[in-house]
Amino acid sequence: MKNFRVRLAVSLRSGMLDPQGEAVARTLQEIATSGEAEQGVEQANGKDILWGRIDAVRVGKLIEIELEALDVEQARTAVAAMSDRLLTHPVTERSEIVGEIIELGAPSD
Amino acid sequence: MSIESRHLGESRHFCIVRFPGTNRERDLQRALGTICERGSHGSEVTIIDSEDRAFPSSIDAIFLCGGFAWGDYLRAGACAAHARIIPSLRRHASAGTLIIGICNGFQILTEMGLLEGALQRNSSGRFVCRWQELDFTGLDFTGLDSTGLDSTGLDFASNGRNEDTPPKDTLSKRLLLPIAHSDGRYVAHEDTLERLESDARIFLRYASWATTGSPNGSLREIAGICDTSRRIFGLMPHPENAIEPFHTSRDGLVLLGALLDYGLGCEGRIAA
Repeated sequence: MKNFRVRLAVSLRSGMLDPQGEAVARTLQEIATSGEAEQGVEQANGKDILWGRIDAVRVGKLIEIELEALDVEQARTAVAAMSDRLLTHPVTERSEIVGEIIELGAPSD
Repeated sequence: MSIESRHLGESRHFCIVRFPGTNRERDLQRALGTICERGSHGSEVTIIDSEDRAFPSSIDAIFLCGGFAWGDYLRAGACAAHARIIPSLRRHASAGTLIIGICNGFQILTEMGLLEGALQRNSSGRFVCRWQELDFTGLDFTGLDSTGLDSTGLDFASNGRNEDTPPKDTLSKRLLLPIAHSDGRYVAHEDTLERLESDARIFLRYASWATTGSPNGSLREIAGICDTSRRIFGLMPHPENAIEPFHTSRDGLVLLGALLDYGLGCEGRIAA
């Protein structure tokens, strides 16, 4: 068996209301229109604007799992099963494995 | 499914599941004791731990109460829905034991898939804690006789806060109950909502939202639903905190009393 690290991103399905995302979007917009962003940028690199209008922000979860598996494919299958059983709500959420599945350190035994 | 007939004076045994993070179990224990006392029932209300594997034998109803089971990590109720007691709870659900989930308990029942839909973060993004008017309606209570109703010590149909209380056979009633939750926005597929409506399985809705605003943005103002067998109930408000004379409202007696009467009152009361 080898050890792997898998990252699963869980987010609300499109069309699901995301009050947390909306609050973050509002705050980003607030920062932009209050001039805070421009000031920050001016100090940082002298350019005029860091961001314009924010259309949408969605807040999700990143779940990092370290597990034993024979190979990358088995690790992927295992995490997909975990996603089905617990980590992702089938009605309200969607999930995907993000980035590379990384093999960690030395084999366990 | 066989449900024993219950009579006045008979002792009842209720069981409340306490998960790590549950916080309303004592309120509910006391409330259930009070309701049984008013109905001249003896009662025994046991609180069991979610890490236990079985319920005591011969229980009349199981309650999942308010709180933040397992910290509501991942999603409200998600981890609790896999606790050690859950397989036993599922067996009770299949056997037709009356199961009532309040607030966090409702969230756990939806996560278990025993009730349809899901409870999402309030549309305001904030924890809401207030007294809320609700309409208790929709269930088919037509088989309910006055003996069952009287066991709460309240005349359910005629004691309405409203002038325009509907006729007794529909038993719709405006209630004032406390709500306290972050994740109370009921959502479900459109066809699920239609099914809930046509089966008359939405027994509780937020009322007066045109004036006071929806507390959480629930679809169709849903505050409580039951499953197709009408043995599993989930609701967001806290009837256990509207019981005592010093509470702002005592409508919790009405709601819990009616659900218990409906669930335990007499045989053959379960609509098809």
